[in-house]
Amino acid sequence: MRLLPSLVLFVRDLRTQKVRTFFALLGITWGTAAVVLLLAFGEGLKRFQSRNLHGIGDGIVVAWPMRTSLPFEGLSKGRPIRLRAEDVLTLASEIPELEAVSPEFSLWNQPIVYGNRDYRTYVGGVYPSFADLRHIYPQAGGRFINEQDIEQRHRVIFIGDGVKEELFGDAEAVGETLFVQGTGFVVIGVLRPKLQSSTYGSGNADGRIAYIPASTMSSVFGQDYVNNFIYRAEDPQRQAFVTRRVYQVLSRICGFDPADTETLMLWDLSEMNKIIFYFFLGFNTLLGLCGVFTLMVGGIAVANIMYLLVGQKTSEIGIEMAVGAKRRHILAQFLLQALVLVAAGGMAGLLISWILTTIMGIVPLPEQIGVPVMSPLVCLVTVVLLGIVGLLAGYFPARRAASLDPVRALGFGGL
Amino acid sequence: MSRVDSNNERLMILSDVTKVYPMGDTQVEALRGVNLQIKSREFIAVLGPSGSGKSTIMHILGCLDTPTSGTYHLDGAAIQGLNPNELAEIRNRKIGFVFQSFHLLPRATACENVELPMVFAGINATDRKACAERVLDQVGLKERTRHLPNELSGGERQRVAIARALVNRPSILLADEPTGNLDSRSGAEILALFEELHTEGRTVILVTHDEMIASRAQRVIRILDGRIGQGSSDNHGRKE
Repeated sequence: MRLLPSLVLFVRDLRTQKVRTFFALLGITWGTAAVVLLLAFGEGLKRFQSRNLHGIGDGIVVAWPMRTSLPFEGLSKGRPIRLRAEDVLTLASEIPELEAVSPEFSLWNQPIVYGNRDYRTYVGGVYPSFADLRHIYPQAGGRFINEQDIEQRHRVIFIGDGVKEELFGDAEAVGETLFVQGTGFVVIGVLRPKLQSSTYGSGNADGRIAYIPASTMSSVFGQDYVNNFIYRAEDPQRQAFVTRRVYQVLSRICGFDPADTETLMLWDLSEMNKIIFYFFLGFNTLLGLCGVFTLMVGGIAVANIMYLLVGQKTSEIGIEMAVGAKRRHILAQFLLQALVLVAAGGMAGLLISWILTTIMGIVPLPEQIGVPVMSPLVCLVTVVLLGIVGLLAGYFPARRAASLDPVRALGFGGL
Repeated sequence: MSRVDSNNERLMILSDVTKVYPMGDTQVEALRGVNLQIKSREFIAVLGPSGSGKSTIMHILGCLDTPTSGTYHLDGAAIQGLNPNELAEIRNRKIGFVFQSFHLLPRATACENVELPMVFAGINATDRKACAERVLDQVGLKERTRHLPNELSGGERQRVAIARALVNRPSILLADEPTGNLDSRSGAEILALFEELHTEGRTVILVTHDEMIASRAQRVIRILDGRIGQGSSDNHGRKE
């Protein structure tokens, strides 16, 4: 409030430096746009990648039974671990911290036949809980495998949208019969298309594979042992604890040393989440730094103007001191002026960035780039950076102004 | 002098004040042991040629500068050893400056210039404006409040500067060659204004090299080579 008149005067001062003011504003605007756009691109890419990653499931662990690496109670090491579906389901009843678990039986490279067409791919035998763990959701009019399918060993099949495309084209798939190794399966659902960047085992994304009930796979194709199983802790923080419990329960069932971690090969996607998080933290920091350097150039231009004004206004600073301005008044005055300059440039930069990101959201870009997003975090980071640039650009000239000697500033040489 | 001592407290006391400025490699002694006492409501002229140290005395009396050695008491309080912020506060509340070359902010209107001391006193904008306009009216510039300094004549500019010096109601007015840049008529008007301000009860200290101007004061202090010289006079008797 008290400094308001000084701002009015500041604007009048700037009019005497139109060209420099213009370039300083341009520098800040340019720098702000650089920071915002680079961060917005980084954020867009991160969101795209993380949606991709989440395509396979959130915070799940995929476990493959392997071999023992330690002798146990007279049994030699190197024994293969074999798990039945019931063994895996025991985990759910014995570990209350486990949110969900599903065994997965696997058949690779199976021709799936419909009429005179066929498509070779992976067929998994799974439980209903698999859908939620792996983000497998049916399109309207279909469903995933349910408890009844498991109990009754229904010959039903859930296919990926890519498989449906290959076999049915635009025609309706649900209710039709497909053949796998001569056995007929009724299509109960088609996968709702999803982004997915990683797979395991099947070698294909979920859009290009098919699932049947685990019990049906055991009885029809004689699969006794699971290829792998998938589980997730209720609380992501307790994932490690749940994994320890999994080893304990299975070691009791199968007879191995619970400390023998070689018995299961684990792929913990919650670890992947962390890796992606840190990767993008680094990546976006780097992008942000590139923007920051551009912004710094603008900041230097602002500091330059402020130094110029301090020099130009030395006698005015002397007058202000003579009529009672304290150090902090002078300091605040120049700091505020630098901040106002930076804020003006920054707002222009934010506006330009907003317009550009909006346009880029409309214009189709290659999918892998993602869509640049001016998230609240991006804006917050930019505003904080602008604040720092403004404070630095203002502080040093302001300190010079505030430390002037009033007598000398007023133009009295000393006598 | 002794007859007024009893009811006029000593407002400003300089005791053995020296001021040394570094100038390149050498030291310049601007003041060499000045002793001076100024009482409240006095009208004083500090007379001396250019380079005599009279401006330095004014800067020290006005708390713009501090002595190299010696002591200065203003209103009973020691000034030497105060920090720049404390000095600024004293200047803001107790002292009004008027300079030879006016020293107005060139891009601020007359009114804004007069408001300046109130800005640093923390007075709100509405009160500031009202007060500045009232004081400008007092110095006869009622119609010129919206003008920039370069739209005003020299005499008008000095009136703005005087209004600015008065606006925080300081008890002391310090003027350094206030008529030096004015034609004789404007100069006479400004001097008349200072006399009026003195009559209203302010302590007025006028720094000048002009004997004629100095003769208008109650007391003349002659400065030569940084010392208070012979012939410093008391004009009380003559005036009354």
